[in-house]
Amino acid sequence: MNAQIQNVLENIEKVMIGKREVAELSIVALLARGHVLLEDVPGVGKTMMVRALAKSFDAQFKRIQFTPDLLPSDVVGISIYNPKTMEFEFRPGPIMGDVVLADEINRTSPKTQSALLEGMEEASVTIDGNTLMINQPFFVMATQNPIEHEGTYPLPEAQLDRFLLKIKMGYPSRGQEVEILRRAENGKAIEKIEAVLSVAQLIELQELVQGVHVKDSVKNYMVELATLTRENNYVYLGVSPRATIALMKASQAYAFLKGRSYVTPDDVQYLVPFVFSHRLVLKPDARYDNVTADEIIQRIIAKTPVPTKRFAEQ
Amino acid sequence: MKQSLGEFLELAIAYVIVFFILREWLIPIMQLTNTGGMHLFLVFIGMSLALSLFRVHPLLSGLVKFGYITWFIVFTYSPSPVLSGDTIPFLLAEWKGNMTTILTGDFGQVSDVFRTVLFLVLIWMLVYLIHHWVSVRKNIFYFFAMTVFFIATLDTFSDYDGKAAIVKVVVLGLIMTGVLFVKRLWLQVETTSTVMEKWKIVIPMLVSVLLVSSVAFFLPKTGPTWADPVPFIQGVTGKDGKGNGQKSVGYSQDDSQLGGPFQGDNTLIFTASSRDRHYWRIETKDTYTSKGWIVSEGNFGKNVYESNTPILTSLQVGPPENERQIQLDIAVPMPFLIQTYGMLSVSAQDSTLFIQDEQTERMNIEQQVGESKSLSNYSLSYSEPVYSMEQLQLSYPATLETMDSSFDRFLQLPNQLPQRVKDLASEITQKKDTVYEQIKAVESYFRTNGFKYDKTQAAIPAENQDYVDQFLFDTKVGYCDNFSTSMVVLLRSVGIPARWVKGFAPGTAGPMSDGLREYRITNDNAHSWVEAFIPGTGWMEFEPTIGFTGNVNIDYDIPLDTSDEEEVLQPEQKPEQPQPQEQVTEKEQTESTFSFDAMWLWMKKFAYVWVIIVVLLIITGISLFLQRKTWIPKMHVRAYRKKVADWSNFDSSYHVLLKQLSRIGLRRNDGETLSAFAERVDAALETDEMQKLTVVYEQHIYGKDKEDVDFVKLKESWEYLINRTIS
Repeated sequence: MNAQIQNVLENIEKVMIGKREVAELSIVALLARGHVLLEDVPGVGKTMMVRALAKSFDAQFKRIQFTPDLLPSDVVGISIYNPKTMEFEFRPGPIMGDVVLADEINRTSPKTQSALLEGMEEASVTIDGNTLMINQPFFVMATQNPIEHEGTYPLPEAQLDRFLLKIKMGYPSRGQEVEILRRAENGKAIEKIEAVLSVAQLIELQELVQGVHVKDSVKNYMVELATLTRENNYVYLGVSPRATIALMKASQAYAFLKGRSYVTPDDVQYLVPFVFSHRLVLKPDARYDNVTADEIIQRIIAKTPVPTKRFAEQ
Repeated sequence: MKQSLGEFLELAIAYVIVFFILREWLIPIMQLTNTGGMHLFLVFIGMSLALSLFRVHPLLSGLVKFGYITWFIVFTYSPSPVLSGDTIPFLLAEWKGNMTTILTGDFGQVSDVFRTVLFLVLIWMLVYLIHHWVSVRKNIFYFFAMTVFFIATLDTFSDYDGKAAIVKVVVLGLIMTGVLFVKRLWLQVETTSTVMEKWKIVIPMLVSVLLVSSVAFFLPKTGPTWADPVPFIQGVTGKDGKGNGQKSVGYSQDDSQLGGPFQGDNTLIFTASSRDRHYWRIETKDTYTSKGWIVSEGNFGKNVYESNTPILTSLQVGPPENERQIQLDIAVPMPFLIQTYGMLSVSAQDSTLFIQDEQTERMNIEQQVGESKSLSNYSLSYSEPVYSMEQLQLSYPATLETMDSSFDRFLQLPNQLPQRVKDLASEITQKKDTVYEQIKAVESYFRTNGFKYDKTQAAIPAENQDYVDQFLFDTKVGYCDNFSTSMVVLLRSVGIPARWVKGFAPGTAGPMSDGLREYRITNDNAHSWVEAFIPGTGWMEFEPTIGFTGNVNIDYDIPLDTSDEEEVLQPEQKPEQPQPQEQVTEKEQTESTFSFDAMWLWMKKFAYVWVIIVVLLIITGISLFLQRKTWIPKMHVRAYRKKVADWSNFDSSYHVLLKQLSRIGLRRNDGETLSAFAERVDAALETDEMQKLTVVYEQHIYGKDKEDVDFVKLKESWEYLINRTIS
């Protein structure tokens, strides 16, 4: 385990109890310069997680609560006429933060959604014909309520593709929940945690992650996994090459997090469900047969031969 | 350890079965040794079993058994009642007497009382052993198998009839084995078993044992597929011997009554220092009486030789340039000369006369004519005869017709010689073209027709029985006299002149020094063999006695030995020569007309050899295959110990390990990563070495830069894992 990241994780664990995996995956996404879609019910600590992460890096934290009447300008910012200077002045929206929590992203209109997603993908926003770059690090953690509400706008597949990972938070165990209560008695722990890494250091780490070695055999393995999602009988639309790239980047980040300078098939296997599951479009048959995307992915993993030789056999 | 009632009952049942099996052991012993009081022995067995069943303290149990043994002895052997005043003195006297016998080494002389005690102690030990088998090892199969073997053996070789016993033992033994197997099974699964569950296994087992046994019992059975071994075995153990007199091996002059067993006697007769082995010839006899050998009547001259004068015999001598010396040291004085083949002259110290009897060719040693004496040492000069094979092959049977009448005494046969002996002789010699081949056929007849060499089994012919006929057709067991006499008679039956030669076999050779060996000739070496006359060649010696191989070099190495130095040697001079020659021509023929058929015929000739080889190969192959998870890794370990510890060897060794793991059932699934597999392996083998290895291996195959690795440690881990998979 990388020592610096270990510090971050410990820092996060001061406020998040029993969410080590979510924390790790969030950092993986952060290191891979990707974004995370958190799918879970409200109140399980999504905001806390993002805030703790942001504070650990001494990064700017912004939060957007998506509502049906939210406009794109509420996300990216707006130019307002300043009577004093007689000019339009740009007021950056919350997306211009380092770490952004986009809460309940599926409750807003597709128009607003796409404003956010474009910003995520391009790391820039276009306002009044001007393109503004968003400063690195730029990390968006969007949450989505899985319960089907009236008046939600489910994200289209193409949009989901822009999230590096989809993570489920899950409820804490009983013991963990008791511990949460105990900490809640002592006031807000989140105020107490301090930065352990600077933004500059984070960017440095992101650079290092790109240098994590991926053997051709492992690349082949990833491609094989992706290909099999496209050939699966239950799958209407398999994952895109963008997903394969995402898988590789995430694997690199994960290997880095684990303190390794190379990616192993274990990293790949671990990350595939988080990278692929929200990108698959299943056929109706799957629903009839009660097969989920995760199950399909597990099946694919089980039958894809892991490269165990020094040289890839092709 | 506290036993439950159920366990106790199980053990009790097992012991009851053991009791009955032991009873089957006891019955034949009692029957065959004429021992009475079987019920007393049974009580002892029962008591011993009960004591170990109830887990009586060993000390107490020992005391009880000891008490019973004492009571048993006194009750059975002492004239006075138990616990009377005489008991202790009786026991003490027995003890003292037997101890003395044992200490003096007279094991055969111990009294019945002592034997009984020993037998009871043996039973005691046996019961202890069975207790161990039943309650600790929970495996009674050896005992069961031994019982079956024991009863089967006794049934076959003794008067004991084990027909019923063997069925009983098999049924009981199978049940016992089954019950104990269930017990073992139960221990392995470690479940809290209810009695009912156990019965669910035991009852079908019982049913199948009974079913199998009864089916086997009622099935029709064929008779034995091979001959009853009893006569043969009895022959070996000496029950069937018709002879009753013991004879001592050794040289005697009276041969008129041959037969009967011999007792060994290794008294040294003489030693001889010689370069070659020799048959030590003393005399010949010409008249067969159908009981033995005597000397024929008639006028024969006597020749007198002095020391160092050339001696003439009817035998051949070798070329004079091959003359050699033999020094003889006589241990037991004999009034006659020990001659050898190719003898030229004798040299003795003082003035001695050697009187040769032309009839027997025996040479008496005499001081003056009529005054016999014996010498303590003398030397013989000899040149070993070389027989020309060419000559031998020219010995056509027709030439026998033209022999002069002086050979008649070598063709003598008793009038009452059974016709079947003559028929046999014709049969043996029928297809042979030369006299020499005929003789060789007779000589080798004994080696292939079920004859057996045995000094103690030779029978003495009955009143109106022929010695040779009895040996050839009835007993087929005997020693040199039987073989040599029979050969002479067979040869004479087909008109080949032959005589019976007496003397000594070559004896035991000592180490070679200065080109000479010392041969020690004892009474046991007293021997008889055959000389036959071959037209064109003359008299030649033959050795029909089988079993004389081994320490005695009997046959025709005499001409073979000289052949090396024989410069003027003709290629076909040696008697041994024809066979190789024939083979060569045969080979040439096969080569010239090589075809599949010839090949096939040749293979067919040795069909059984091929079958055996193939079967052995298959068995070896199968067992190697079945054992592969043991020997393959061992070979790998050995191989990799020698190899340099580097990345490429590490890589291949890791794959070897994966393969070996899959052999023992730890197979990596396709989609399973190495580290996940390693974790599984370590869990199964209770180590963490596999993960250590795998981390390095993964770095090797997925990483970019190679880091420094402690290969020695990895090798240790690897060997450890391999060894774990074997054990």
